Amino acid sequence: MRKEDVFVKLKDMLERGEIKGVLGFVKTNDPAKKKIYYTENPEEVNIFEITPFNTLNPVTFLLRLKRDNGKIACFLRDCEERALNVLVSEGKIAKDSVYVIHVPCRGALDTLKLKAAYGGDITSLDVQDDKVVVDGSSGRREFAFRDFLPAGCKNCEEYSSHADVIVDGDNTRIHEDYRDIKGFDTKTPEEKWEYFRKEFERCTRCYACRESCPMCYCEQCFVDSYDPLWVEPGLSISDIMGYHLIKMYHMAGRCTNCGACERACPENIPLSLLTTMISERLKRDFNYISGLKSDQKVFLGEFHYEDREEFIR
Amino acid sequence: MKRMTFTELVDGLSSWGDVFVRTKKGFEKDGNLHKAKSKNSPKEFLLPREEMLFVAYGSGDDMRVMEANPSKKRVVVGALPCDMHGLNVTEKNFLSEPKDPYFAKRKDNTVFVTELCQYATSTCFCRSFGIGPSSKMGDIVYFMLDDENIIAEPLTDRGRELLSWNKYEDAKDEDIRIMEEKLAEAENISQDLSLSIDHKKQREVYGSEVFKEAVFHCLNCGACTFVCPTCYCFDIRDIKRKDFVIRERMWDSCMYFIYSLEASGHNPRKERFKRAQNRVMHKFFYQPLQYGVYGCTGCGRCIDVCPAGYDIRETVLKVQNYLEVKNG
Ligand code: SF4
Ligand code: SF4
Ligand code: SF4
Ligand code: SF4
Repeated sequence: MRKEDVFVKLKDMLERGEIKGVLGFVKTNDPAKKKIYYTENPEEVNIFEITPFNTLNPVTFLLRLKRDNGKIACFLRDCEERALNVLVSEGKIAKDSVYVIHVPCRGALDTLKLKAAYGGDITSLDVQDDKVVVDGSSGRREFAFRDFLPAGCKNCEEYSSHADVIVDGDNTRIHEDYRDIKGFDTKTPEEKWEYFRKEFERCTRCYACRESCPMCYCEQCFVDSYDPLWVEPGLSISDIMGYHLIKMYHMAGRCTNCGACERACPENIPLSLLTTMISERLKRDFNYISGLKSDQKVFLGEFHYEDREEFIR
Repeated sequence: MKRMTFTELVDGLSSWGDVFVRTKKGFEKDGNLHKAKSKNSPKEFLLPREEMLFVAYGSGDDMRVMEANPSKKRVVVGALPCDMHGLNVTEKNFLSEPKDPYFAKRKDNTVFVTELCQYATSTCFCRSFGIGPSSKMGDIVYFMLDDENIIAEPLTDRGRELLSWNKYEDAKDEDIRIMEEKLAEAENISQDLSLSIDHKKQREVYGSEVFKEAVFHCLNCGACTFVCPTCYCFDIRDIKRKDFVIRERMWDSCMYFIYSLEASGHNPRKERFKRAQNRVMHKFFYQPLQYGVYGCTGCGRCIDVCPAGYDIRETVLKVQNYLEVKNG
């Protein structure tokens, strides 16, 4: 359906009470930044934007809204719809509490990284084929679209949407079939450690990666605990890694590789490389892709009485 | 003002202590000057990200404590008016009685050389807080004429003693003209929000719908509080090792669940919006009430760093407007 028609439909549904509100992205003063917005006002539905600059995952915010008494309509890309499926299968969100509007996506750009690369006030930006054209106080500059995609967006899994309505548009993505990861695998453990140490040294433990993640819904995260103290606070590399590696364990089989964490990271740390690695291993070794269906078994949440290992029972 | 080169300034100061120069990231030792705002403010020079307060060892009667004595002499070059004002605001908390000895020592041992600002961007709103790109602050102030030549002047006794000012020639009229022109440009760009918040009405906005809506898109990540020159919240922890205990102080952020978690298990800021609300309330209500000065300097760093497109200006103006409408 054309975007304009979807807006008309949403307005109509709001007026008739078929949905309670709409969640999506809207403009901010900065053309490179879109913000999440929720409205219950039918007159406002046409302000929502569908762009490659929508950096966060709306499902994260869906969790923060009251989802009883009425459906919430939500604009979702493939990976974000898959994240919703995971949360439904985990019993975190009721399937019928969300009205899914599927939006086309060619990959979601890391706009903080783009802004840092441009290095000035941005007045306009536009995607033309494989280029991002930026205009502003540092003049007109062009960047390669691919260079500003998190690894997840370059290795997006095929998915057939179960959305309630589908917005028309170009939905072809770069499928590199985990090329980066396979290349990375040829490195020695020392080289891998060196690579990640260098990247993670910049981490300030601001936890934007956690807060932007729809899978990080724990009311109290393991790092927010004094007793037991799972990971010490502070910025030594072992404490930083302690946080990230444990977080990554919690992502296995749940993360749908939407890349929101990497796009949210103010230090441009390639978090999506790690999550993409997890996705690759899961697919390679277990033929498991997270969130394909909302009734899919949870990867690490399953056990059988016939399992050989005692501890699982 | 006197005319010299940036290198002369830095070299002249390096005999006093280690020189840290404004870079893209923050203020780095012997760094190359970045001709724009830095991502991080210089607050870490007075309140480090992590600092050891003391080490305790031994047991019983033989318990000994070794206290930290931050005595390193340092020169911070290139702090902008918003940065410097930020430190002046932060000082009100640490240097009012009882004084924080670590902060006070660090302050005594740090010389601030500030730069008059020609780097205003769309996120700057320092002019809302009684300062601006041409505010002279710190021990020495300078202006970049080009990539190398500067004009500078001392503002404090310490600043006067640090360089042999007499050996430099006076700034030319032309230099002053260039400076005034550039600073006027920056003054034009930096926004003045014309704030007129009635701080005593704090209870009328606390917990209101206006906050709930204005901060909905905030992730509560805390990135903004780390880069902010005036956010000074810290946590103190005792770190146990086999033979000793270290008492450490480190930055904390009101954005975090654990920040306001009480020992009983009760958390007065369990809801996310209350945490995002607190950042605004503290800067625009509590600090003005307590110290008579806004807890924001309008540097715009929080807006630059935010991954969620949150702009504190919008919230503040909404809150101000809400109060005005409510009170007629
Ligand atoms: S968002 Fe980036 S800097 Fe912040 S905790 Fe995560 S990895 Fe570290
Ligand atoms: S305002 Fe932005 S940077 Fe600050 S906590 Fe919210 S999302 Fe994070
Ligand atoms: S609140 Fe934002 S604009 Fe104000 S001083 Fe802090 S970082 Fe700067
Ligand atoms: S807020 Fe902007 S214009 Fe004002 S002093 Fe800081 S960098 Fe310069």
